[in-house]
Amino acid sequence: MSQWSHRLRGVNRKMGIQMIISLSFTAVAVAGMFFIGMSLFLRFSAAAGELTADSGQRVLAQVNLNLDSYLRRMMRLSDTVYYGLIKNTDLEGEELNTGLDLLYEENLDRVVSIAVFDTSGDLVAGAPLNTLKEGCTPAAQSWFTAAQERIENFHFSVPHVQNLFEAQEASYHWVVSLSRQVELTKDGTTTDGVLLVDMSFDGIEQICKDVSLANGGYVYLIDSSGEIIYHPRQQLIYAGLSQENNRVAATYSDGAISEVFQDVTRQVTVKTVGYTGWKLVAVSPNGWETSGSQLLFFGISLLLFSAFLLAFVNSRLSAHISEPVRALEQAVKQLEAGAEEVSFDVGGSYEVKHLGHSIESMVSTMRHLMDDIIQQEDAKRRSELDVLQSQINPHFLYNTLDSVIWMTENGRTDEAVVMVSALARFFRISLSRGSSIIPLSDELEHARNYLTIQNMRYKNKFTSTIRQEPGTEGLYVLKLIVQPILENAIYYGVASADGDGEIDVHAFRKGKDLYIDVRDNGLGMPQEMVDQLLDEHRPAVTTKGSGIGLRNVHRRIQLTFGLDYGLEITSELDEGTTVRIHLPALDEGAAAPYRGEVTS
Amino acid sequence: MKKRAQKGDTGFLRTGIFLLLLGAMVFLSLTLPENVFPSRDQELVEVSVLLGDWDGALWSNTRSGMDQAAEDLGAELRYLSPAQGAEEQGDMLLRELESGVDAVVIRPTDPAEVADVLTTEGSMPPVVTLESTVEGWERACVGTDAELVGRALAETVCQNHAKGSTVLLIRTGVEGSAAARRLKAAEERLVQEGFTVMTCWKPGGLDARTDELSLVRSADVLMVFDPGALEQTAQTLRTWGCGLPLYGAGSSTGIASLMEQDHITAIAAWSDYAAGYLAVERAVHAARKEGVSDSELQFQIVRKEDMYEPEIQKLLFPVSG
Repeated sequence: MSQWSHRLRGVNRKMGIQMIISLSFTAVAVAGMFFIGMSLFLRFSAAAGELTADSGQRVLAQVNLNLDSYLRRMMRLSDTVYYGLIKNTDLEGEELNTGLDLLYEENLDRVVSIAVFDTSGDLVAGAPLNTLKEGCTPAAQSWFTAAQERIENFHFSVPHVQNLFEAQEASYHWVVSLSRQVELTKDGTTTDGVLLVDMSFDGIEQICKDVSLANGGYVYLIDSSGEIIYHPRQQLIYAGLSQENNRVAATYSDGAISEVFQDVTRQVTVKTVGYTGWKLVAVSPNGWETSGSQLLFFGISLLLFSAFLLAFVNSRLSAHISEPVRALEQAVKQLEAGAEEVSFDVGGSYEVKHLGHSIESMVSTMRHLMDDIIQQEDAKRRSELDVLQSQINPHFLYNTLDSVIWMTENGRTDEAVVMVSALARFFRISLSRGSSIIPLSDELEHARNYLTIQNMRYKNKFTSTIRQEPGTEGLYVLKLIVQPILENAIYYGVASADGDGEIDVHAFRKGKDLYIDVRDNGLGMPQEMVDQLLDEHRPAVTTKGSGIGLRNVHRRIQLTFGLDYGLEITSELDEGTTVRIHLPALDEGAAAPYRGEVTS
Repeated sequence: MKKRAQKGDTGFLRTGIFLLLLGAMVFLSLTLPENVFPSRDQELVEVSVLLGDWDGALWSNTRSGMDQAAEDLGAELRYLSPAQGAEEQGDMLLRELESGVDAVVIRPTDPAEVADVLTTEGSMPPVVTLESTVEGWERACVGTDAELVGRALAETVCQNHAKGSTVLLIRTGVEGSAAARRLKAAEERLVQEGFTVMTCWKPGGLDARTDELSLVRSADVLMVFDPGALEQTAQTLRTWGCGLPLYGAGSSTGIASLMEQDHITAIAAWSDYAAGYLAVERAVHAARKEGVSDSELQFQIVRKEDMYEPEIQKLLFPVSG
């Protein structure tokens, strides 16, 4: 069970919303229709059965009424003959033939003959014929013996060919005999006799013949022993070409019953005819073998057609729902791919539209947030730059002021004045009204002031030159990038070296790039140290000789202009070190954005 | 993105296939019942019936059976009454075969003549014969076993008459006809039992208008093997006032009446109603390309005293309905 539900979930995951909606809606609707259809089918079949039984009973009631009426008429005729004619006739002096002829004429359409026999079977009177066939023995015939055996009753025979009268032409009538015991008066003496009214078989046939029932049903008539009196296919049955379940039907009680005869299930309704003990049997084949199956096929067709219609409608409906969702998904994918202009107006239902608007709103919010983050990052970067820049000044200021104090204490006031003046210019450029981009000349001037101060501090232990190549005038550079390099050159280069130190600052332009080389002839460094100097991942060490100043300058340049720019250091032990500052060659126009950025 | 689009296309394709399958199933479920449950209202089959030199009263039972079969099975019958003679019947058969009729029921006057006609026809509708076969050209034959009927009648004669009696067999049918085969079987049986057998050729039976009583003077017993000839022979005997025992094959109201009047001693009777019904039934089935087979009818030897037995009544006197 769990395996199935697992599989179902697996299939569900693979299916799209359109397929899920289509399939589930269709399946539920088809299942509903199936159950309703089956219920209706079963209900209909039960109702059809009841209807058939009811129809059979109603038809039988009507046929029974007609038959009863017919038989009553025959019995009334028999009564009339008996009580109106025989009882009032003394056969000694009177005869019955005239009266019988009259009654026969009146009932010509239904009666074949009326005859009176004495107790030994001799003909007393008859109409329309009154001569018996040669060799005919009425006393041996069943209608005669039945009348004599049960004297108080009317007796109805089964159909038979009349075998009584001598006719001029060969004629053989199928009749149903109504016989009864009568008392004949002859010379004042009563003797027994038999009154026979031979009813035409056609009369009964007419009553039962044109009865139609559902599914080609019919009505037949049998006596109490099951002998067929009338059947629509009577001659076929007599000829052995057809069969009927008449013997079994004789055992049925009145009412409806279902029987199987010759592999056909039939609804049989039985009604006993009064006086005679005959049974009217209405047969209605159920017809479910074919009409039921046809109905079932029709139902299946209807179900399939409905399923087809539902599947189609559901498919369209689900497409109407899922396509905007899919479009929304595509829009999100485009957004993920970096598209700037993505429309979330995908149409569809209110919910989907709302979802689109929500996503659009969310994207807009995200973009604002991202802008904020970028701005914050910029602010952070600027703040970092400021911190890096501010790291320069305290050391230098402290050392310079220390030198000024030292000069002043030693009476070297002129030199102190020069140093303080240089320091003043140095700071003026350092400030530069807060701008981080300054003209190259200012930066070189700044370097010159610095070298002046340091030269005085180091008692002219080194000499310095600053050269600015033509073509570099009017270019702008990042502020305070040369001074930290000079500081390093002094501290770790020329200050520690024996002999006269030399520091050369050379600014020149190559194409769109500006280079400022700071070269010293100091101790130089091994390559390993050179490699470590600008390494960002190197642990921050603030001890002397850690090169933090160089790294700061390098980071500032890269933060400002990108990774293509920065410092390049080349050094040889005992030969000196050259630090090349690589910058973009910015004229005033190109420098403006950088300057504005800082001022903003 | 492309994969997603492909997935969408596959889903659309699946839905399309699903709808297509459902549509096909709807179509099948609508057309299948037509094949599984063929309509009861089948096309009417036209059947021509050639009963030979038939008399309306003589063949009324046969015709009733045929009408009933036609009503049951959906056939339209065309009764044709050719003039006397096999040749006329052959011509009429040829005309019917060429008229585009769906099936033919025929009681051959001369089986060989009918077979000749059928031989000349290339394609023809199914032909069902009554009583006689036509050299295998018929699709089915409905009738009694002629030899059995002849022998049964001969045995009845043997039971009622002394050996050595002279039996005159009236030959009514040409070679190969049912009547001729009955006669031949009876003749063999009678000879075998020690009777003296004579035959004479009287296609319509003895006729008081043309024949003389002297024709039968030397005979102790008469036998006729065709219903029409039997009835006419019995009437002739009645006319002549001749009480010669007469045995024959076939039944009709007239024959029953003559038997009741002792002009016929015994008959071999079978249900003409059943014969007519079965003949048309087979013709209709054959026309509808359904399998058919011969049908052999049962017969009974009926004497005057048995006539009103319930089962014999049903055989001799058909009820309407």
